[in-house]
Amino acid sequence: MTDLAAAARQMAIGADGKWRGGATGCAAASIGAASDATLLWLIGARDGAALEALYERHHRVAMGLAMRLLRNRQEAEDVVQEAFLTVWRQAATYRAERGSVRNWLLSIVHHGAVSQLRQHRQVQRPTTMDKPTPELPDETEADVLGQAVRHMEAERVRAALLALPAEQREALRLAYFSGLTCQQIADHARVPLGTVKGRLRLALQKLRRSLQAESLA
Amino acid sequence: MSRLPLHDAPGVLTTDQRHALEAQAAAYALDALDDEETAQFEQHLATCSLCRQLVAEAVIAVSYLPSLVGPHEASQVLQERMLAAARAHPEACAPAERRLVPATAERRESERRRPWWQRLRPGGEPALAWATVVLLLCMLGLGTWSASLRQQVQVQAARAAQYEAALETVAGGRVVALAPASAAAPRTARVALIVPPAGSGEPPRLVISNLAPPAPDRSYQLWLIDGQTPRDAGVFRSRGATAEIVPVQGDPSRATAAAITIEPAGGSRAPTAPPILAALLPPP
Repeated sequence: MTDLAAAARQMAIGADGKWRGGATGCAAASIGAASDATLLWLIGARDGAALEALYERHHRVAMGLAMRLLRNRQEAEDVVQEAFLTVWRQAATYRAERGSVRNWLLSIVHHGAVSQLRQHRQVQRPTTMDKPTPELPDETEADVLGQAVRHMEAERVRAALLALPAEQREALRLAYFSGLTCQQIADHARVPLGTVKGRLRLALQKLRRSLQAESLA
Repeated sequence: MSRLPLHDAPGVLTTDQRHALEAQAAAYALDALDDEETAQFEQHLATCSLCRQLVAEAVIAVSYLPSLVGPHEASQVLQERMLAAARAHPEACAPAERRLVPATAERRESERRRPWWQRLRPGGEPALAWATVVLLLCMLGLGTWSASLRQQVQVQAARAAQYEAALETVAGGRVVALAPASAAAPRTARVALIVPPAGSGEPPRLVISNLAPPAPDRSYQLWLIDGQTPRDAGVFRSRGATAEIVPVQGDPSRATAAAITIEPAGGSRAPTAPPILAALLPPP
């Protein structure tokens, strides 16, 4: 173990083997109130409490996404665990101009879930994008306003998707929620590969313009 | 991987070539390329700023999609496993530039990240604004401020006084201040929902001050939320700086939250935009 690694271990872990509650000396109260970007900076400085805080803040949505793709709790938990460990290992490489920390984390979750799907060579049963996939109720969620805001956001995105032509919406669904490659989608739809990529291009372009325009209104 | 059009000089790309690059970026952002194509494209991205920009644009749209799936609680074991695995690898991150978070930015972010109900004090925000104005006025008496700053303070004092006066006209009910709910929310606006006592016969009202008028083709719309369902509680346009009272439709006593969105003029049947101001409503 290098001197640097030994120093990091000394900072981060106490004699009892547990996190020392902030290698950077950040108090627990301020950790909970810190922004995602601040938590990531602290994680880069090997602050385990910041990793715990980030997990507590985002693990539910990460699990929701992984479950949606994998439909298997154990596999979904494996993917989510690996995603947070990736954040732990690569926190210092994050750049704010690439998007929010939450979106970065969810992109890691999605990539991991898709890799798992392809490894098992599963093809998801087609489900409609028009209604949300029924999820087990999250009985621990006490943030009523947060739920309401999420519900409103989901309705907004769903409306934007329904405004897409059916073939673009279907290509998007198969790519993002079923983990198919463009070639697999092309084989499924019996259209050229270039047509599928074109549909995905147009779908994302319209989504971005529609939802960004509403946000700026 | 289909060969990407040569684009060392982006300015000479044809429309079809540009579309081909955008399509590849879209497929990459959706994780829809196979492993070989992904590896090749990532190698290309390392040296192509145009394609990195196209991927960044595609990622913006992709980032909306997770909102379609609901949250899902993980087992307690997952958290313990994750933290144990991280403890096993406490070594420093991969070498890369680490930006220090400026202290001022961190304080702003810290304040923003506080749950909004910890920032809400019914009647507290206007009082704080008034106390600040009084302090500033005292400092004015010391002659330490320039004429332009003096004028700004006087304007703020007048607005605070108008807002307080409007609140006093509807005193006797619960006062719930709506807080900014998004990055686009107006930071200087003062908006409070007045819920009258049960049986008083008084209607609920919204007191607003310093809320900029929306675009000519837009209106503000108040929603009362029962659980997860938003109910239309009224459409209005603000007058800007002047404090005003807006009637509220419906009964907020059963609502669990209130929110304001910007909608097409005349309002919408259901919210079409995320809330700009919002508040939890305490039980009666």
